[in-house]
Amino acid sequence: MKNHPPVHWLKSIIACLCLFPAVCFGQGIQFWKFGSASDSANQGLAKWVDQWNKENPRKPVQIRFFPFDEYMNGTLLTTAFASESGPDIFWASRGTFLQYAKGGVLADLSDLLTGEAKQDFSQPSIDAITVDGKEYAMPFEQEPVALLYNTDLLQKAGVQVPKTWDELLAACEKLKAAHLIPIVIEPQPGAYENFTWYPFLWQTGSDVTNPEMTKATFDSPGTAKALDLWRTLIQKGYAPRTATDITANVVSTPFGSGQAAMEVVGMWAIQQLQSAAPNIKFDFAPLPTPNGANPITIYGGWSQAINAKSKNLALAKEFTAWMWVKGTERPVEWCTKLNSKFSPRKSVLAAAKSFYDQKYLNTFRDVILPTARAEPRYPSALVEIIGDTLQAAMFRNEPGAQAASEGQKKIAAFLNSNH
Amino acid sequence: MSFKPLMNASRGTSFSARHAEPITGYLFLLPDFLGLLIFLIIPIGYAFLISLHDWNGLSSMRWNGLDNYVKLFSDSQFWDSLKITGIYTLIYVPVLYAVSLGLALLVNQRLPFMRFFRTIFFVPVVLSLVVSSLMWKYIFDERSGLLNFLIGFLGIQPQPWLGSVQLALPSIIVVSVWIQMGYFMVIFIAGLQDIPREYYEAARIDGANRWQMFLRITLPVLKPTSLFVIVISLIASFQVFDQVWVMTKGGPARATEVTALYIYQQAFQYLNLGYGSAVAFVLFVVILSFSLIQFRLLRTDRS
Repeated sequence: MKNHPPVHWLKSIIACLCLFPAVCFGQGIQFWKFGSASDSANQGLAKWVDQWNKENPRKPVQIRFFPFDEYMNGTLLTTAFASESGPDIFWASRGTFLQYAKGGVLADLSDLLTGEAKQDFSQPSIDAITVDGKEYAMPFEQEPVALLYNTDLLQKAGVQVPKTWDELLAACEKLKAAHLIPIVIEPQPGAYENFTWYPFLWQTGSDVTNPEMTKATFDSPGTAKALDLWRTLIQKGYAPRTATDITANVVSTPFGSGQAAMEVVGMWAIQQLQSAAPNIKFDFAPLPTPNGANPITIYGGWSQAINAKSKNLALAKEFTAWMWVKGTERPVEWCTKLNSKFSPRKSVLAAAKSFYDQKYLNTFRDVILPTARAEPRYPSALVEIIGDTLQAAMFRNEPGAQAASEGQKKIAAFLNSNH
Repeated sequence: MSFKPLMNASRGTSFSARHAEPITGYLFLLPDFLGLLIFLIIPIGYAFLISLHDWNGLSSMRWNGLDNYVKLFSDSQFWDSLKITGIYTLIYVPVLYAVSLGLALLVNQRLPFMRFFRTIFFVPVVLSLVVSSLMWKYIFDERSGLLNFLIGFLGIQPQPWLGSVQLALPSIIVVSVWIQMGYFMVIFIAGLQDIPREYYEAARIDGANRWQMFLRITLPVLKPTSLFVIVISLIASFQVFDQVWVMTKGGPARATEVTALYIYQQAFQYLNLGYGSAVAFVLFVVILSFSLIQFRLLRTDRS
């Protein structure tokens, strides 16, 4: 029998009519994510969304991608939430999580994290998304920071991987003399710059505040030393003063183009370099410490949040649970194929054991992750003060002790005004 | 049946005659007025209302009266940003004036290819600010930028243009002048072409040289145009944002944090929309004051 064109048209019309109610009566949800649609990780997410939509045609999910800068530092999410046209699902970093939680934007996800499901998550990952005893986001990744180095460049310059701060500075001097860019650190102020600097602060035994965040502890010899280290890296020309993009995107940095020998960056760089800069021979080492002993690093990671004013809260929760809580298939794919990250879930780490046995990842699992502290959850005002202090040391050549003292005053004033 | 007029004939005719023209005029103005009302006046009014509240844009507004304005006067970062904006203005406006006038004088001559040069100088005006800023960001790159490559031929060491607290603001000023010089060049060309040639001929006969003709004829006759250029460029300089956001984001160490950027950061990064609106209003008052002073000068000069 011939297929008559009108039969095809009829099928299309019926398909549209089936979708029409779902689309037009607001049963679908919007998932907003940063990055380009062509990023391999985002392609993977888009594939998941397609899979969900095929399996659940009456519960459509639409994923949209936005430039990272606009997502993190721009007006996108703020104006969307203020005008009640925000996405149903979005991602929050530790740097922004508190802002959204205190602003009442985040839906309570405690019902997704109960019993066995909750036990499967590491306690620090649950603590990171808990406010007043309730969970307000879904953690799904952990990314420790380490010292990334180009094995060829270090060998060419006759430099060993530094273990102490003095060795780091000596290595930088030698690399600079060999006309190489010694090291890349984040030069732009913001949560990411602070995030990559905190390990150096902690390695000296210092911290920004006491654990209860009631007292500033910033003004200490250790803080001064940590500030002076980054001040030296910039002032002596060991690290570039500017960057075309956030240095978390390692491919866009001089390291990614084979010009820099070292970079302070997270575990996500493994997958980035393997897919976009396969010619670069690299490895990871723990961050250098003041005396070579007691290494400390940091780990961060995004968490998935749901808009408390979503018109389809149930669907948003169902989709989030399907992505990150039900089974291990998608979390394993996220951490091992689409990215190189750890999962906060024990069952996922177990299921992906053979992946973490591989080169680079075994270093992170066995050597670096055990020394990692969770990224602190500071209010934006505190992030700003710490950033200003670091920038003053790096770019105004302010001695660490002076910068630490001024930072202390501002942090103390902020803590006093909030208690 | 005949159509009954709304009013009797004698009264209707007199009303129409008196009011037809003004009504028609107002009707023509109405669309523009509605646009100004909806897209300018109401949003400004609402922004002022927000400035009287504590609001993070996510939860509901909380009235706090003039607290944001009180906070502003003791906010050292606000005053620093105003100082940086002031320095930017003090350098940008005169440099832009001199460059645009200089270009206008050059391309206003009756020489071959002048139209080509006028077009070339105008190209930056039609480029998007973001595109221009991104292009210059790469030109200023300390490692692989074109500028450091060129100055290398002069034996000058590569400079961290956008990464230096001393050089970042001048670098942005250069970009701003480059972007706008074509626009004001065209304004000056129109002014120059309005100057009667007889003035120059008479001056030549009297033995005046080119510099004297420029000082005694060109500049005085161009005064209204000059004041217009200064007013517009001054207002624009207080509102500079795009170049700074793309090239330095206010860094390094807040060396280029102009007030418009400070407002943006307060409102959208730190979610202090109430406070950001208050700073925006103070900036509005500053700009308005400068503009009124200049308009007053212009009116005095004309009278």
